[in-house]
Amino acid sequence: MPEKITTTKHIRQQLEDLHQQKYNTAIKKKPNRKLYQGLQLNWRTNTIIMLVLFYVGLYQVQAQAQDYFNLDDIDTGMMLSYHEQGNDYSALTLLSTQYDVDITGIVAQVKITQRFVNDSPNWVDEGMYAFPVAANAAVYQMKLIIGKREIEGEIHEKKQAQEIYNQAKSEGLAASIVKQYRPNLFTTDVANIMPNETVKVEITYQQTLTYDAGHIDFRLPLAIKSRYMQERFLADEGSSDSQESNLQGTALPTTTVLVDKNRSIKINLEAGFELTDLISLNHNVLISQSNHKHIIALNDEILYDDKDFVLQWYPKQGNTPKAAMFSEKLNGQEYVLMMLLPPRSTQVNTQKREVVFIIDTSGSMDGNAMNAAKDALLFGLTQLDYEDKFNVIEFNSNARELFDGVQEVNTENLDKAIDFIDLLKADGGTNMSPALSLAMEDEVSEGYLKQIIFVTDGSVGNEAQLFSQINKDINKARLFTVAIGAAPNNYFMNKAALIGRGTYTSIADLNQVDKHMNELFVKLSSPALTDVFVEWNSAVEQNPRVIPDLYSDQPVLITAKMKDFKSQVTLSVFSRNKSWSKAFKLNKDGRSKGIARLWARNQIEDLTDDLMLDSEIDRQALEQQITDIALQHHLVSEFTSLVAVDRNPELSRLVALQKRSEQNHEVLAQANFPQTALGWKLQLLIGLFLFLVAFALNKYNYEN
Amino acid sequence: MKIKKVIVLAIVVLGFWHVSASAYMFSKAWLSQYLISQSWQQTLKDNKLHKPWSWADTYPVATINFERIKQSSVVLEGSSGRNLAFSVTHLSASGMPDENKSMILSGHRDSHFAYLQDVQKGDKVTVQTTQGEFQYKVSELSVVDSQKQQLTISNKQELILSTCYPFNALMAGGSLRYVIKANRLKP
Repeated sequence: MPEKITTTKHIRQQLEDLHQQKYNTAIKKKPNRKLYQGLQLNWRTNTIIMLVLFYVGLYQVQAQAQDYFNLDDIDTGMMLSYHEQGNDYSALTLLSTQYDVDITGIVAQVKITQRFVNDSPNWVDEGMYAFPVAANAAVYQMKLIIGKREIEGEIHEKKQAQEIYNQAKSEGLAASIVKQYRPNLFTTDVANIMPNETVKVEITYQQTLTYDAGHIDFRLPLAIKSRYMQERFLADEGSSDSQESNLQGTALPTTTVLVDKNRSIKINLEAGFELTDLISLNHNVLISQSNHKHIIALNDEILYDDKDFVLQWYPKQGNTPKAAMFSEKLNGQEYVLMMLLPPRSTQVNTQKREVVFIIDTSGSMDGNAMNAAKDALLFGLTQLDYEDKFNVIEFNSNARELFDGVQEVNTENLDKAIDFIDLLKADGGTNMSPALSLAMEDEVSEGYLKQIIFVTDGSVGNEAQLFSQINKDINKARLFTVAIGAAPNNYFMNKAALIGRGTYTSIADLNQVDKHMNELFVKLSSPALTDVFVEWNSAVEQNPRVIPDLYSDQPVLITAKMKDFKSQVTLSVFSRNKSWSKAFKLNKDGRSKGIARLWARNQIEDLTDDLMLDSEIDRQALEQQITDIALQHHLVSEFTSLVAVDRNPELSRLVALQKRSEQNHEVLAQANFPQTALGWKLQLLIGLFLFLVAFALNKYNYEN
Repeated sequence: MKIKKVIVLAIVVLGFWHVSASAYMFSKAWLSQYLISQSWQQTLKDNKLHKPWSWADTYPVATINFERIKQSSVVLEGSSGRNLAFSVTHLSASGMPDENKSMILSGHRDSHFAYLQDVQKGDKVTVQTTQGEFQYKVSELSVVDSQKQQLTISNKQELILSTCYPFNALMAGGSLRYVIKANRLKP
C-alpha cells in the first residue's frame, strides 16, 4: 500500500508541476508584448504544424458507418441481424416498447413487449434477440412472434433441454437454448425474418429492488446510449461525455439509430406501507391511487431520452419497525412475503460490546495486503469505547491471541495491542479453525454484544468444515468478515458472515481501508434489528432459514410456503433493547403476484448452498428437489434451462423454403460497388489554403 | 530570409499542384459531357455505337432523366474508374431495361450523380436506350456499407443507382454508398 500512495503522490506532484509550468509561461507571455518576435522565430514550425493539422483534420471529417454492434454494446432489448462478413450485428428498427410492471413491496414483475420491423429489403437469415437483465433479476418467460410463427421459452431439465435443442437442429429449425454470452445478457436466435416483417417479443422477469437511504428505486433503462451512434462522426465534438447530448444533431440514416418513440409504461405499485413520497425522477408521470395501490403511467412525449426511467418511493418510517405482509395462493399452497422495515436510525446504540479482531497472517497476505489488514485493525482500535472490551487474534498455521480472553479498553491495553499488531509478519499456512475457536469459545459477559471482526484474504480450502464450525459455536456472537485485496474468496466471506449473522465487507482498493472500515464500524455501533423471528403457527418452508441482524437501513425480506394459513402469524423483533411484535391476518382479497416465484428463487438458492456445503447430504434427492421447484415456478437454475421452442415448426419450414426459392430465383450475380467520389473539392480547398499560407508568409516577410 | 523564400515558393508550387489537380478532374468531368452527348445523338439517329472521342474505349448506351428535379445524364458503358471520371456509367454485368435483369448505374457523388441527394421516394425516372423509353418509380433510398454488402443483380426489371455517401464529405474513398432503387412501371 505505501507504494501505491507514493505513486499517486508522484503523479499528482507531476501534474501540479506541469500545471505550474503552464501557468508560469502563461504569465510570462502576457506582459511580454513582443508577439511578432516570438512568432517570427517559430514561423517555419508553425506553418508546418498548421499544415499537418489541416491534413489530419481533413481525414477526421470522413464519416464511417458504425451501426454495427458487439454483444457488449447491448443495454436494452434489441433484435439483431448477424453479418457473416463482419462477424457483427446490426439492429432492426424498434417500433414500440411497452412496459407492464407489478410491484409488490420490494419485488417487481416486469413484462416488456417490444415490436421490431425488418425494414431492409433483404431477409434476415440469422437474427438474434438480446436482452440485458438487471442484476438480481430472473427471466422466466419469453415469447417471440414472427409474422405467424411463434417461438416460446420453456423451462426444461437441462438434459431434456439439450435433447429438444438437438432434435430441432437436426430438423433444420431455429430452436435455441437461451444463452448467456456475458453475465445478465440473455439471447435467443431467430432465423429467417422476411423483408418488412414485424417481430413481437414478450419477455417477463422478476427483480428484487434495492432499498437505500429510506427509498426504494425501480429503474428501467430507457436512455439511448451513445454507442448506438457513430463514434467517429461525433469525434470532432470532443469528449465522450458530450456524445449523448449531440444525438439529435447528427444527420444519419434513421435506420441505424435506436429511437424508442412509441413507448408506454404502466406500473401497479403495492408498496405495503404508507408512503411519504412517490416520485419519478426523470419523466412526467400520471399517478392515481385506489385502495392501497398506486397506478403510475408515463405521460411524456420526449422522443429522445438521455435518462433512465426511475420511480422512487419513500415508505413512512417511524421510531418502531414497520412490517407488511403480501400473499399469493398457487396450486393450493399459500405463499407469503413479509417485509420488515427498520426504524429511523437517529438514535445511537449504547449497548456495550466485546470486539474480537482476528487477523490473517498467512503467507498469502504478504506485502500490501498485510499492511492494509494492519491498517484496518488499527482503525478498528480507534473506534472502540472505554466501556467496551476487546482482544486481537492472529493466525497462520497456528493461532495466537494478544490477551487471554477479552480485556478492557484502556491506554495500556491499547498500547500493547498496537505493539502486537506492529510486529505481525505474514508467513506460514492458513488455518482458520483454531483462531475461530479462540474467538468463539469464551462466554459473553452479561449485557455485552459480542462482535468478531475477521480480516483475511479468504484463501481457504475447507470451507464446508469452517461453515459448520461457525454454525455450531457462534451462539449469541456475530461474525463480520472483511476481505482484503482484489480477488477474495467472495463466496466464503459472504457465506461465513451470513452464518455468523454479521455482514461482509470487501476492501478491493487497498487505499480505501479507512473508508470501508469506517462504514463497517458505523454499522456495528448501531444494529437496528436483531433476533428477528416469525411464529407461523403452521408447518412452513421459510427463507432465509436464519434471519440475519439488520445493521443499516435495509429491509428484511422473509418468504414462506405453507399448506394453509392459520388464524394469525406473529413477527417478533428485538430493536434497540426492546422487543417488538406484530400479528398478521390473511387478507383474502388483497392477493399479490410473484410471491410464489420469489419464494422459489430463495428456496433454490438455499438448497443450492446446502448442496455445496453439506457433503453428507443425499445429493440426488436434493438435485431433484431443486429441479422440481425450478420447473414448477418456471425458473432457470443449475439444473434447468430456458429453451426456445418453435410452436409451429411446419410454418417455419415453409418460410425457410420460401426464402430459398425467392433468393435462388432472384439473385443472378453480385458485384462490388464502384468507387464513386472524385474528391476534387478537397484538392481545391487544399490548394487554396496553401495559397493563403504562402500569401500570409510572404506578406509577413515584406513587413519585416 | 532565403530559407523563408524557398518555403513560400514550395508552398505556392504545392498549392498550384492541388488546385490544378482539382481543376483537371472538374473540367474532365464537364467538358467531356459535350462530346458524349454528341455521340449519343448520333447513336439515336443511326442506331449504332459511337465513341465520344477516337481514343475512348467506351460509348454512351443510355440517358437517364429525373422529371421532378429536372436533371439528366448520359450513361457510358462500363463502370471503370476511368469511365466514371467522364460520366454516369452502366455496370456491364447488369442488364439493360429491355432485359429481365437489374440495371445498375453508378456515378460520382461530387459530379455527375451529385443530384441523387435530391431524389425522393416516388420520383419518376426515365431511361432512354436505342430500344426506346422506360419508366421507373423510385421505391427505396438507403445507405449501405460497401465492405459489408454487395450490389445484387436479380432477374427483375429494376433500376439501381449507386453513388458514394455522404455527399458532402471532402475525402474520397469512404466505404458508405447511397443506393436508390426504382421499379419498372408497366408500360
